[in-house]
Amino acid sequence: MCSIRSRQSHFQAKEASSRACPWSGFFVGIVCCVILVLAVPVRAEQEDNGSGASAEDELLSELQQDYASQPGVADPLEPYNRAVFRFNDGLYTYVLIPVSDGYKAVVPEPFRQGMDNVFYNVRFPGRMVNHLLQGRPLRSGQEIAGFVINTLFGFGGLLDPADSISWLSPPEKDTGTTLATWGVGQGVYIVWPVLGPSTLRSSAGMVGDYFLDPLLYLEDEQLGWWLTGADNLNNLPSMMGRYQDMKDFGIEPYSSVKDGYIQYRRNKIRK
Amino acid sequence: MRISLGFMLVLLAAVLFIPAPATAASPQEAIEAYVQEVLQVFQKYSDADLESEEQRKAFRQDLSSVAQDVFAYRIMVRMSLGRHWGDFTQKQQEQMVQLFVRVIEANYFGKLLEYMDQVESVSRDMIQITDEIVFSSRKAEVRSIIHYQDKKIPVNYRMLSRQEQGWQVYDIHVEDVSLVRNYRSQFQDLLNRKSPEEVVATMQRKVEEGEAPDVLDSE
Repeated sequence: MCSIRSRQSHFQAKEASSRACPWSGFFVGIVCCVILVLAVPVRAEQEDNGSGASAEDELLSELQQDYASQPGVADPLEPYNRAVFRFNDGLYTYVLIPVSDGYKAVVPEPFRQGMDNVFYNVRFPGRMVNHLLQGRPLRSGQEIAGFVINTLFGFGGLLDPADSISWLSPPEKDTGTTLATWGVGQGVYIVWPVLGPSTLRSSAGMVGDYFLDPLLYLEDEQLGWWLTGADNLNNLPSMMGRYQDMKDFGIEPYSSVKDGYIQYRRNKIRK
Repeated sequence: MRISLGFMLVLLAAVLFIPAPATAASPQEAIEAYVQEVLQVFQKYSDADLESEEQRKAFRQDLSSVAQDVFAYRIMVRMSLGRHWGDFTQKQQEQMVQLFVRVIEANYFGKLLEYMDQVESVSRDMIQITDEIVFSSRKAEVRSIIHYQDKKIPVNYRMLSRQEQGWQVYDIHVEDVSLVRNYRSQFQDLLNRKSPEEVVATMQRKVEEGEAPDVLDSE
């Protein structure tokens, strides 16, 4: 700022002296131009740094508040949860990830996707019932329409033509999300052996989902178990991929998985 | 009269030489430009042998310089550390930012390389920008969908408008999971048990190992 002030006074001096010489106005102009060209960027930069920094600080504290306002999950079972997490980590790393890699190597991706589509299609009653229980009959109708279209035009659900029509793909809902819309709190965080992260509410929801699964009601009970097993195996690559991602990006895997799960569930409820 | 000529020249100079305000690009334009640049990097290496360590390194380096312009890494770290940011000395803060960039790049670019191995060619329609939500004059979200093997992965960019850099990304939501929020919970947890110095060391270890350190065993 000091240099600018001195330049301004220089400018005033020149202005005063211009009355003496007829050409001086022109020279004053030139000098002023040069001065301004030199001074303006300096001044602009100084002002930017001043106001820019404080405006950014303001924005940053606003962002901090956004983040701080989102609560996490109570974890009173932490010692137990960490032990199970460690057990699961070993199980995934030494058993399930190799199995998943082997399965991926043998079964090509289009087949895996097709199988995923079939199971998703067959399990539509669970989603339909939960939409109803959440007071969304329209979404229930969309599920039915999607099921009919996929079964008729998607070779029994192998393809998923309904997915390309956004109106026929309502957000996926399970019993846990229904409990949430009924006002049931999420409860404490629980890590189940093999299954991994959950909350008390989601665990109760899993029981509901179990009973809403059409495969449970097959006449041939054993076939139902085989199909469920095949579906689980087929889901393994994407589940293990997600776990591996969390581990790769994470500095502290236990908290990373916990928070990732909670965020994921919250968004599922909100939709 | 002469004086006014002088002033006119002054005005002219002022108009001509005052620097234009920082780029007025919209958040969506900033992401579109970023996607375009990433695709250019992909195209540049489409015929390259990415098996060779040298080529992989060059590929990562190119992506790194593209990302540096768009991602506000320092702000990401500041948000991730939350109220603990002030507990770190200035030197530790710098270390954290550098290590954070390396963790993100090592994994994010690793994923992109994996992606490249699995798709025949990379094209613009694999990334579809679907929406732009402006929260305020300085905060926005750009939504996109990545098409990958029949799957649609929603990737949303949280952006802030900065004085000099224009719109930059301060958080990424992949499948609705916020990256910053996730790191925030991890750092919170670590800092409950460890000093800032130890957290820097943990980050360092993570970078060196190229994967998650076994903090589980260190408890």
